[in-house]
Amino acid sequence: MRIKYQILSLVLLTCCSSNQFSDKEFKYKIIKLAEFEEDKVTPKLIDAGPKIKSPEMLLVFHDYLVFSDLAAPNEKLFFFDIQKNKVERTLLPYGRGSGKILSIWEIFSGKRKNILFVHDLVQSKLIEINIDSVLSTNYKYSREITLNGQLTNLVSIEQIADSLFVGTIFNTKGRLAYFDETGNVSYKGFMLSNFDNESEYIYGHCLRGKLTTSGSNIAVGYFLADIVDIFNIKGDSIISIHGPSLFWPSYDQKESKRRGALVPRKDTRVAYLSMTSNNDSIFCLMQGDEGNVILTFDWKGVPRKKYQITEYSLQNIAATADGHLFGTTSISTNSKLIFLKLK
Amino acid sequence: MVGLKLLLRILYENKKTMIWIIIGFLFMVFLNTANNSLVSSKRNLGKQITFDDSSKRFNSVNDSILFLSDLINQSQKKFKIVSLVNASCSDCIEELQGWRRIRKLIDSVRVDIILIAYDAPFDMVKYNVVDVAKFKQPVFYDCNNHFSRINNLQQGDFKTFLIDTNNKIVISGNPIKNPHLIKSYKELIR
Repeated sequence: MRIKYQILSLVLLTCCSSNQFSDKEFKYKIIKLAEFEEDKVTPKLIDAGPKIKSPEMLLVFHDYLVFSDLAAPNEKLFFFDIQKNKVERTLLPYGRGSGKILSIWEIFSGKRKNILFVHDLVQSKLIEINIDSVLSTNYKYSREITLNGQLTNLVSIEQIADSLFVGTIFNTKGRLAYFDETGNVSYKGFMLSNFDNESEYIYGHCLRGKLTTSGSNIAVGYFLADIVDIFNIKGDSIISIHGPSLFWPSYDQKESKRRGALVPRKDTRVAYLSMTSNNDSIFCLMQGDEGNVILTFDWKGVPRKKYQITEYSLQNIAATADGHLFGTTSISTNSKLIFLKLK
Repeated sequence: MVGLKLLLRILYENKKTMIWIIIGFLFMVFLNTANNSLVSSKRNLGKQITFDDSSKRFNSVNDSILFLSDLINQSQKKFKIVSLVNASCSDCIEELQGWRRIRKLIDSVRVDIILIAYDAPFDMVKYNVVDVAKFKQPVFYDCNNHFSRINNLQQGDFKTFLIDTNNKIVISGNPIKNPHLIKSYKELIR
C-alpha cells in the first residue's frame, strides 16, 4: 500500500514539475514555401564613435542597441542610444571574475522588464544586467549565473519565463535544453523533422542554428539546413518551414571504424547565420550565393519578404520593435555596424 | 673515368642536350627551394606569442575551466608547440591523430603541445574533437579567432610553432605535414 502511494506521489510530482512546457511528442506540420516577395533595402553604415573597432553580437533593448566589441579598449559591452546616435555607456572590462568577461557569445533579453543577459562562453556564466542600473551613475551589475556540467556547452540561449531558459547544447541528440537558474536541466522537443539514424546524430550534435523567442514561441534556424522550425512551449506541434531552395546538410564523412569528422565540403551550403524577432515577425539571416539574404516570416510561418544584401557580408542581426534591423558584418576583418530600414 | 670523358664529349658535340640538362638542373634546384619554403618559414621567427584567456578548453572530463594563460605560466617545460587546428577542414581533424604520434616521437618531458581549434561553429568543433577524434589532450576553442587577431597571424602564415620559454617562435611549420621538420623540432628540443 505504501509503495502504491509512493508511485502515485511520484507520478503527480512528475506531472506538476512539467507544467512549464508540453511533455508530449511534437507533431510536425511542414510548410513548403513558394518564392518570397522580394524587396530592396539599402544598408546604412553607422558610425558609433572612435572607440568601436569590431562590433559583433548585438541586441536591440528598449531605446538602445547593445553590442559587444572585444577589440575595443577597456570595456567591451556598449549601450548605443539609437535616438541620440551615440554610445551612452560602456560596461564589462576584459578579464576573469565577477563583472568581467573573456568572451561575449550572445546577448539576449530577459523576461523581466529591463533585464538583459550576456553569455560568456569561456567563463561559462550568464551576466544579468539591469538597464536602469546601467544608466544610473552607480552601476552595479545585478548578478551572475554560473553554468555547470552540460550547460558549459550551451550554443544559443533565450529566456522564456522567469527563471526558465531554453538553449541548444552539444550532445543532446537534437533536443532543446530547458534549465533554471539553479542548473536543473531537462531535454525536450526534437528540433528537426525527417530523422534517420545517422543524420539524427549529425543534426542533433552539430547543425543547430540560432534560437529566437517571443513570449512562449521559439524559432530555430539551422546552420546547414534550409529549415526554420517554429513552436510554442505550451503546444505540441512544430511548424517546419522548408525554404524554396530547400537543402539538407552536406558534409564530409571519411571512412572510419567509428563516425567520421563532420566538416564542410566545397559544396556545403551554410543556411542560417543569425535569427532575431519581435512580437510580430521572425527575421532570418541566411548565407546567399552572393552576399546575404534576409527572410521574414510571421510567427505562424507565413512568409513576408526577402531582401538580398550584396553590399556587406552580415554575420549577426537584431530586430527593432518596429521591424527594422541592425547588423554587424563578418569579424574576419574589422566589422562594421549596419542599419537596415526594412519596408 | 672513361665513361665521364665520353659523356662530356657527347655533351660538347651536342650543345642542345647540354642546355636542356642545365635547364633541368636549375628546375630541380627551384623545386627544392620551393619545397623548403613549404616546410618552414622564417617570417615569424623571433616573434613573441601572446596568450590570453579568451580561448575555452572544451574536452576535459567535467568541462572545468582551464585558462590558457595559466597553462602557459604553470608549464615547467622548456618548449611548447602551439598549433592552430582549422576545425572546418577534414585533413586538419585527421591531424589530431598525428599529434599523438608526435608526442611519442619528441621528448614530452621538455615540451608541451597546445592545440587551439578555430574557424568552425563551437558544437561542430566539439563533435569532431571529442566524439570523432577522441582526443584527450587539452584542446582550446578560439572564440571568434581572438588568438589569431591578438597575435596578428595572417592568412598565409604557418599556424604551428615551436616556442621557447619566452614564448618566442624558434621554428614555424607543421611537423605532421612535413616529416623532415620533425628532425628540426627534435634537435632543438633535445
